[in-house]
Amino acid sequence: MKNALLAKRYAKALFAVGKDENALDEYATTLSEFATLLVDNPELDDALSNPIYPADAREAIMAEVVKAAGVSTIMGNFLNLIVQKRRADVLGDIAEMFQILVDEENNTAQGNVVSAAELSADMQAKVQETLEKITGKQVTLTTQVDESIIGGMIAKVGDLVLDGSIKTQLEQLKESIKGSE
Amino acid sequence: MRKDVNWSKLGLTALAVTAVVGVAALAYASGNPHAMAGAHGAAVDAHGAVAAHGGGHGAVSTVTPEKLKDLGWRAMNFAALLIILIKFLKKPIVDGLRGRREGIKEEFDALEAQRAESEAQYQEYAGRLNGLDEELKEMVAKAVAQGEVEKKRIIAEANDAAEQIKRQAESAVANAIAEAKVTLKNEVADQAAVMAEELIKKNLTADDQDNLVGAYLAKVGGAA
Repeated sequence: MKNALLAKRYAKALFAVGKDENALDEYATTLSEFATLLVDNPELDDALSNPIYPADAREAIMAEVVKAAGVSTIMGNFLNLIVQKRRADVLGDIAEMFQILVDEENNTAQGNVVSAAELSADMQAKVQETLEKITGKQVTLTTQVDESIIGGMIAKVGDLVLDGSIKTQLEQLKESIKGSE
Repeated sequence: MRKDVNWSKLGLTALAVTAVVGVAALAYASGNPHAMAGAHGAAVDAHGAVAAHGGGHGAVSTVTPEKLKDLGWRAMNFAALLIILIKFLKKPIVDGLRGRREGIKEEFDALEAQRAESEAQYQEYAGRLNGLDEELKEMVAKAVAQGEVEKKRIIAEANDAAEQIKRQAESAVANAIAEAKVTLKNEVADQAAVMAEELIKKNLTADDQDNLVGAYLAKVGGAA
């Protein structure tokens, strides 16, 4: 996270408003979608964050995007404010920080599991159960397939990383052989 | 400055005058005026009266008072000539002789000084020559001693250098061996990992995958 302090400040402000409005999940979803939109569309990200373009043009673009997205008024104002303050480049960090605040509020956590092959629903449930047991929080799990890990899985929840991949075990074995006398 | 005089010419002149006067006197005294006239020649033109007088009495050889008187005049004339010659030639002759003597003396002195100097140099060189052998022996001894010291030093340095090179070589060999071991071990480890990965990929089934995940979950869940 490039601008953690700045992102946390904006996220906390929006979190306070969202909590009052009881719209934390909605705001989290909107922020996440906008962050994904900017990642998927680098031209839009550049048009909103590059200071080479006039400020009113950038604000007009964001206003159009907000209008097209049909977000709530408060969320729309927040997104326009972000552009006015020339902080569009930290929108992804704000969304991430906001999700953390929401998860803390709801005692939930975002989890991600990477496996070499698609996990069965039963196995995904076991993974989620295990992660919830370890973190003590309700885990919202997303899955990802990466054949490079060969086998096993890698699960991440916040700062917690559980690496049971064959690739990592082979690396450890290799380092063990290299380090042995 | 000494005046240069042609001594040979002056001496010959004085000898000729003396000879003419002496012969004339002897001839006159012996009563042979012809002999005197023949020997006299042009050199005694100033005494023409004497020659004419001799020619008139050639036949008589007696000592007359006139002859004695004439002899006396001639003797006086000769004496006057000698006095004049002595007066005018004495000083140059004496000066010349004195100068010659002094020159010879100076040459002798110079030669003597040169001889003394040469003698001194000879003595010095002879002394040096006598001490030269000892000095030479001493120099040779010193050179040999220095050579020995230098030889020992060079050998010691060479030994140290050889020892250092040996240590460096041993260290280099040890490092090379250690490096080769590490390289070999790394290659073995990499190759083993690659082979293991290929084997696992080749033989891993879906059930194995579920078993792996399940085993890991049991491990971390049990640990938690």
